Amino acid sequence: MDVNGDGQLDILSGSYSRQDRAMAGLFQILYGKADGGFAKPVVLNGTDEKPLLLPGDSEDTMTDRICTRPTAVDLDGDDKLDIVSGNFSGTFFVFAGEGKGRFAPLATQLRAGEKPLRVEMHSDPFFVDWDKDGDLDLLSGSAQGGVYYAENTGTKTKPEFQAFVEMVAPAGHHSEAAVTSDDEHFTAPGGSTRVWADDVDGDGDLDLLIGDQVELIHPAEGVDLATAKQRFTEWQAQLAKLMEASPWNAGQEPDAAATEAWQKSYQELDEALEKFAKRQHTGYVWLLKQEKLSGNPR
Amino acid sequence: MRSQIVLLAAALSLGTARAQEVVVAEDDAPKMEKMSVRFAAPQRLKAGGKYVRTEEPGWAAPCWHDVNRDGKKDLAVGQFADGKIQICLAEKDGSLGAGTWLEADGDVAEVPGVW
Repeated sequence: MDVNGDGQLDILSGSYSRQDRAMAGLFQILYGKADGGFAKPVVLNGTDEKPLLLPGDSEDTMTDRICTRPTAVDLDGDDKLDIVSGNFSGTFFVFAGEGKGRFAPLATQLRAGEKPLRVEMHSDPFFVDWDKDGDLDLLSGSAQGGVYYAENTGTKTKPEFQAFVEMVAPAGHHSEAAVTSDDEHFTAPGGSTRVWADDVDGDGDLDLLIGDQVELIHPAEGVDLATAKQRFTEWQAQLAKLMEASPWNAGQEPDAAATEAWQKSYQELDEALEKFAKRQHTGYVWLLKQEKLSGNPR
Repeated sequence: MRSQIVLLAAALSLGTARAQEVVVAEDDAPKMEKMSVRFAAPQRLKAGGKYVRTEEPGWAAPCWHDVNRDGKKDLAVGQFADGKIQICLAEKDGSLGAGTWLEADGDVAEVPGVW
């Protein structure tokens, strides 16, 4: 996207958190250069010349400010790009554009009626006219995976979003894990999804590109595949028992001692897996081609 | 069953990174209706004959855009590790070429705060 209107393609990125003060995800921009290259990332400031930050100023709102995931889009049809950002909490905030890459310092929250628009965690906004009615609808990935759709039933200049509906089912946080010697067993996106929509196959319908995060579990050095699989099955049973015994299952806030004891058991079990398996996390990109667009998708 | 997810969030204190556990209840997830839209079976994208994948610990963030202005859309994939961005340029035959790291001012571009 050409964020500052100079005719060059720029790259806008979020970040997990700044490192010098209270946690808050900054926005970083790699400005495009005339030769087609990019300059090193710089922090994006608001019109007050201070770094753009999502709202929140207490420990309780820390997750509202971190893990920013922005997109630049003209959300209100004024021919100026606005920034819409997701966050760790799963909500969405808009920094109004004032033209030429300048943005108002105070963000407003995107809502569906009276309620904040929200996915479970790690909101990931992408705007596209999915239902082809002339305005921009909202898609989002989430920490649990899946893709979610909030239809814009307003206008190009006055968006009004409906509550999210599920477009692609989530894999969940505890998506099926298996000990393998390769990565061929994955057949669909995992968790921590990031979404992009475009007519990738050129058939006139929008398709989805979905990035994810998955865990690869291979046998540890010196352990054969069959043994690693057997021990992993036993380990999963132990994990299930531990989760059942979680102090949070009592339906009330557990005391500190119970919490500490459970977390110690969790850590020990987690480390026990390393004796027969090695874990690695990675992310893939998936293409989901739309087969049919049947009018209003709600 | 009410279960918990233990997530690692980076917490920062006096400039020193430490790990902090953030526990979030799974049933905090918003309940949603399902949308009536159909997709073909997911295809895992390849570039240069290999699956497009990020470095540890994952979190692939794809973007479909004509990066080199040749009229064909390319794949850019952001990742968590070092905030690097992989570029897979579209080939003439419609496939994606092997990924290379995006550079900024001659060095591999790294977005700070995405460690």
